[in-house]
Amino acid sequence: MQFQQFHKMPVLWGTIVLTAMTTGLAGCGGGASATPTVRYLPSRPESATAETNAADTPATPEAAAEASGTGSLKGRVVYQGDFQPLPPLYGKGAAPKDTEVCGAEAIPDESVIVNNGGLANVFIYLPKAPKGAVSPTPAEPVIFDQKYCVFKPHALIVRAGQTIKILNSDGALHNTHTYPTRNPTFNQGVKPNDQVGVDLVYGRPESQPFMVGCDVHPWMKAYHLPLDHPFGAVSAADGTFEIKDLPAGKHSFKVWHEKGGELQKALTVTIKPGETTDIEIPVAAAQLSRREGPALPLVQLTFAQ
Amino acid sequence: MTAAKHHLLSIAALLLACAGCGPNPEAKFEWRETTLDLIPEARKAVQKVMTDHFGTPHALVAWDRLPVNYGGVRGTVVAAPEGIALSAGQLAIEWQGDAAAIGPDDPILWLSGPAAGEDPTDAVAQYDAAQGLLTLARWKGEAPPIGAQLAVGFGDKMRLGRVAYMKNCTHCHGVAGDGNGPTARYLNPKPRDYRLGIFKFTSTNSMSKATRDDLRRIIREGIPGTYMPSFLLMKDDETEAIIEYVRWLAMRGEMEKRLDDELIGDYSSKAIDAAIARARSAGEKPPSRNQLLKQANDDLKQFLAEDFPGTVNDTADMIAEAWTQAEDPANLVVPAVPRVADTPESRQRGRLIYLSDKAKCYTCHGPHGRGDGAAAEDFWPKPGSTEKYEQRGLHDFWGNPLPPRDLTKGQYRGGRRPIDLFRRIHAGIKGTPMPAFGGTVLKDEDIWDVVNYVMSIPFESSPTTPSKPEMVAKTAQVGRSTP
Repeated sequence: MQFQQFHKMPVLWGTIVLTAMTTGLAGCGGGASATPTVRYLPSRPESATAETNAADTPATPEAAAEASGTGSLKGRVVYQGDFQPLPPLYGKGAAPKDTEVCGAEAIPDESVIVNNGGLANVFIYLPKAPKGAVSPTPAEPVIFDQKYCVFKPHALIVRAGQTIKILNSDGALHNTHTYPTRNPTFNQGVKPNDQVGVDLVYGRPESQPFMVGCDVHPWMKAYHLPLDHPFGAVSAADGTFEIKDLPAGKHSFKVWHEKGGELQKALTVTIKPGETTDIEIPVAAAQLSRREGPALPLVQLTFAQ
Repeated sequence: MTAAKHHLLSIAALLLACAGCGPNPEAKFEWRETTLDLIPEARKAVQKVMTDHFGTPHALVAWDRLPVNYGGVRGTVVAAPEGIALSAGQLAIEWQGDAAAIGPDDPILWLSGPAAGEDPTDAVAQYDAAQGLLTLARWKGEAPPIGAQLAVGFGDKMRLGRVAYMKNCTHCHGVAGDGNGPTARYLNPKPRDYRLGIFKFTSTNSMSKATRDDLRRIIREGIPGTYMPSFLLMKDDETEAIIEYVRWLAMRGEMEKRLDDELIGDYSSKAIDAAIARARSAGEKPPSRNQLLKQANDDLKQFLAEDFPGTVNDTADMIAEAWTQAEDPANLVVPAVPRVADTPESRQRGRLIYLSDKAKCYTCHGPHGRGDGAAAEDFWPKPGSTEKYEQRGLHDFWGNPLPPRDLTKGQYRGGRRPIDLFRRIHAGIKGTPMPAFGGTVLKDEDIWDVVNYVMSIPFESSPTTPSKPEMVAKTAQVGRSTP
């Protein structure tokens, strides 16, 4: 009976259906095509919290007491284990590209270099400038050269804002391609025998060294680290390093190597005014295990001009 | 139609209405994988910064710190011009921009002064364009002081941009501009992921980002040889709104990436795994994950309190500065000399440069311009790691395989005008191995010669002849083994 009554009300039915469909359609469009709200956010910097917190946590008492004076840090990165010098990536005359230029010398494998038990090319640096330590950015540029298709130097610390002059001592084109995190990437050709150089400036400090490559010669690799303070060093061929004029007090250094990554996150050293602190940083052979295997045979390109 | 049939139809329609139009999945900005890999407290910190400063697709936040035109007209309250007495609720305004379109009911947002807020609190009752006099609709209390800033119709462009972007772009480029829309998986080359803040084809120098003009060109012309179509038929206001919205998405994405980069080394699952692996390789007993997580959380607390706000500021400034600089005409690549006449001599000079040790174009593009240079056969190192890519050949910054352009096809993705090719060679192609040759390696005249040569390659006598075997990569000698 009720059903029959329903029969008599097609108009009502139609209305219900239409309403449902409209609602349904509205639901369909509700996602992407609905107009969003836009809220205005002024550009004020978020410094309020930073300042309060800085005020809440003053420097540690001992740091405050020893704040006057500077000292030096001297040390050596010691490779623990037997080291067999790595064979060159390519022997003399065997460079697969631009052989006349790149093959003039053997191309060394610089990923792990150990001399007299000291590990070279280790970055030892403060991740942050110590409070109150201000030193101007050096005006003179740093030289970053390429000779026989090898970057010189292989590991480089530079000050943010300091100019790097990229030279090319080879008779072939190189391009210097950087892969930084906080700075814009740089990918610029450097013409053969360019002794005037191309200027590269990192405007910002980085928290870790990053790779620099050349897209013409895939084996070419170097590592750069811009810092906003002078307290960083790369270990020399025999693993030694020195960082001068450190403000007295406790410091936490980062220790980084291309094969080992971050070897130490916070190497704590106390610097006493007027004194030189000596340290030794042991690195186990197994820590340098980010292996990539032997150099791949590259393809030859012979071609008559 | 009988009543019964009518019923059936109605019910079918009702069912359809219900089934087809269930609630759509809510559009949202997906987080980067690197954000999701952070330890919970670090992830929350990044997500909070992102949501506070950028909002969601439905509730956008227009952060004034970024060089984005969110829409509307801004103005400053000034003293009444001489001889004019302001009536109640009437203000004299000095506009920055075109105020001609202001009309009744347009919302008014106060940017400074006592009524400053995040949302419009007033509206236009009447606007006298001739005198620049604005009458407020909801006038109460004291008059806004001279110097107070307001915006009429703030956010209009961004709203339109979001809607038009969702309609036209999301399918491929994704809601967050991550290049991962529903269609993306079927496409090669992949749609651009804006979130690195890098666009490949720009008119700017090698270190600068893209300009609005660059994005406009890509949207209007499309990218030949890819799935990016021309949107020439789109309304101008929509195109303009999409340009701003895409710039904003690129800034948003880069912000998230850079914040992740700051945290990932110390406060991510990856970092904890690495610490365990490090201890193992040093021959020590590795600490437990919980220990490491607790340590990381303790360090993080200090970092979030002391350094993070500064990092957020610094990152935002860097991104804002980069996008502002891109619009500076000083950063445009403008040839110092007009195009060198396209003569056989010029083409020949260009060819010799192409084949020279100075420019080495052939290492990638091949001696005949077929994109079959030796570089396409090498294994390349992955930036930021000691590994190599599994696949032979060059890769772009997004990690996709990137064959060097085959120049015999005459199809140029960044545009086929001679100036487009000039700029590709002068400034390189961003996010790819194509370096900048301008300035030092090649003089502008040389670049024009190369342009003339490159543009002639498709018309060489037998462009389909393969490169001679001795001139291309000898793949046989290395085999096809993986690294």
